[in-house]
Amino acid sequence: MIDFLLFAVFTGLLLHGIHRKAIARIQGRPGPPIWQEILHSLKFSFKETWIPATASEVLFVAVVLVALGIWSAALFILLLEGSILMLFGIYMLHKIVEHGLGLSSGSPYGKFGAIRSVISAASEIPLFATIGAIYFVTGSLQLSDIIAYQAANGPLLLLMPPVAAAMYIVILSKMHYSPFAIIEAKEIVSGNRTEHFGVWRAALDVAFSLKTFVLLYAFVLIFIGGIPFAAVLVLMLLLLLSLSFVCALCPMLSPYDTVTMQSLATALVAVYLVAVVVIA
Amino acid sequence: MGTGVTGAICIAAGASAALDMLPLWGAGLLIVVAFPFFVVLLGLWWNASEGEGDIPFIGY
Repeated sequence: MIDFLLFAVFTGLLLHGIHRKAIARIQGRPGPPIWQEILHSLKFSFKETWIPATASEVLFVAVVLVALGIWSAALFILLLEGSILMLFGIYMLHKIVEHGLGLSSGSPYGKFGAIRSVISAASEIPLFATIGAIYFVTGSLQLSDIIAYQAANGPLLLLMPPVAAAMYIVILSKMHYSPFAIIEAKEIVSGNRTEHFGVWRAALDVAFSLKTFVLLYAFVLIFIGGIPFAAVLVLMLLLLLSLSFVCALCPMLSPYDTVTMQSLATALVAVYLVAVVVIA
Repeated sequence: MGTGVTGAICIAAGASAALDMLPLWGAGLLIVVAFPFFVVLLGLWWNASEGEGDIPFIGY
């Protein structure tokens, strides 16, 4: 299990590097090498580290540990084919991490990031609609049941594409350089992560690499089903590259436009579900 | 010290699960608790040094 966790960390960091490289090439820049994020994390871990004088010390460190813990737990939920409702719960806890990161530092940039993370909570609405729709169609929230359902009836990606699109927007909202990434926009420096540097930033990079790995892995398992792991990795890479295209070509939305877009995605899923019920 | 202990817990939990000496959820729980401390303590062990806490920019 620990070997799979370490594999997920390095693959997640590599996926972040590929994401940056793809965005750069789409925008006509050479971009960093794809292993840049691995080197970044190592570099941060070697740097001088302290807790800012204005910070709430316990919360400043605790949110880093919580970030690592929740995404490790999320990975094991996928590995053990547990309930996607627990994944949803972890996604909620991640929101607390986002708030805590920004509010613990005492920096105004961090606080702006934390306030924006409240606004970006709208990203949970499409996720909630997605989970509801999956339960409505498959009759279970257990990942093993969802995979078995797809083995019998075909991938949910083909059976309910609007729901997959809503989940895609959820993942997009959590990617670096996303049009929805308002909590770490350049006008507020690094947003809620501004004062977390050195070892704290390295640990956050590890946690967020796990987050990216988990979200992509979850999408493939939930909407494609049980396929060989090598094929899962290939699909995760293709999914990531499609996200990179969106991130490279779409400007960052204003905070309230992100809420509008995500609410529209939820409405689309709701209309789709009503249509399915009426037709059935 | 802490780095070694938390690292050992992670490895022991993984090995125990592989040898069927511990249920998978139990090993997962141990790793979820120990792994965050391992990552942070490893960084704090090998980082450049510990400086004085600075006051970040808090506005004009």
